[in-house]
Amino acid sequence: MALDETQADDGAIFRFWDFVRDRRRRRLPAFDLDDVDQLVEAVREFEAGGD
Amino acid sequence: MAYRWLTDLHEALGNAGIEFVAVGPSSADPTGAADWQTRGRPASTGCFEPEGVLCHHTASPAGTSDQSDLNVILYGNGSAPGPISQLYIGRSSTCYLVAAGRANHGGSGRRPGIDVGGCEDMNCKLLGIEVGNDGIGERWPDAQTTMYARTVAALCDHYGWEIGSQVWLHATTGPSSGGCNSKIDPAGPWSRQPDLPGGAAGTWDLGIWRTWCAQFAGGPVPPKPPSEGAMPKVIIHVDESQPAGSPGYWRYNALWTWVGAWRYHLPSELAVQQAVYEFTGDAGVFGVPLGDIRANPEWVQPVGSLEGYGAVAGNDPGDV
Repeated sequence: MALDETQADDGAIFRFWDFVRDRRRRRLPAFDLDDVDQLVEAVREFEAGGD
Repeated sequence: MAYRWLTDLHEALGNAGIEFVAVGPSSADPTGAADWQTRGRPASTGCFEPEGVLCHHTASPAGTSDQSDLNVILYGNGSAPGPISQLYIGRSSTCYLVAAGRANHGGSGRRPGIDVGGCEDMNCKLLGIEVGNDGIGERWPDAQTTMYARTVAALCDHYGWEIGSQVWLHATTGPSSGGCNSKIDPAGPWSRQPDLPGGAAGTWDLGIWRTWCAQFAGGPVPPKPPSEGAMPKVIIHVDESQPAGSPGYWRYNALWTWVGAWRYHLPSELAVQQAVYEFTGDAGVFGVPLGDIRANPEWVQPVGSLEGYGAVAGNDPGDV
């Protein structure tokens, strides 16, 4: 089903940044989000619910 | 559904003297746009008829670079594809022009007193500004909140929006208005609310924010120096022929900036603050009384420095 973008807001990036913070707390390797390739990889892991 | 591309956003900022970075093509941009003027969510996702501004924070951790924030805003994710906002202001206080079209910042919301029938599509109705802050206690630098307020005021001036009724915080379109979303932004201590009622992650007060933004509306645009480095400070001349408090005080007891052979009358204390900020980049000047501005040699040069700028020092009463 297509995403309803009338409901989409920056809460999505709030949750992404929580994911980044959580990785930092757990001392997992950090993504360099200045690098688009690493950003894409980070978002993929975030959406997969993994580390 | 109407869809309006705000391809004149650069004029809104430029008319207010706000310098900005125009965000060009980026591999982080899922829309593949060539520039900010053609960037936005496609019309198939909804309308875009902005009639005000919605203010946000990014929630990125303190210390996040402008580039990282910007990449996240451009890319978004599966729940909210980018762009996430039309404008972004980084921790560097740099303003970035991201998109002229619709963005996924506001979602479903309810503007108190306007959306009386229920929740509406805020991505259609409001232009979004994301600003770098974690919202959980990171102190907002004064330079950043000043740039934020100047940007809001510039947009309202340009598009004819009322700051008092068409500027919103994301949080005020949510829980407090009937629960269309659950956002808290913008939040965190800033110059006008250093001790928030809700603690370090407390949401800003809408009335205080609007009042702060209004100070920057419709103000004179400080003149720009003729060339880089030619005018390191504002040079201010004070004519004290009219006593403070008299009807002609601001008209005649004037402060002037000098650029080349020209002098500019600054008709209010705020205009002086804006001029000092424009020339020195020091946002600390805002909120400083006029007398203290004049007394600060980091901001103001004595009139003797006018030599070489086409003016003669000491010709007017009250030269300082």
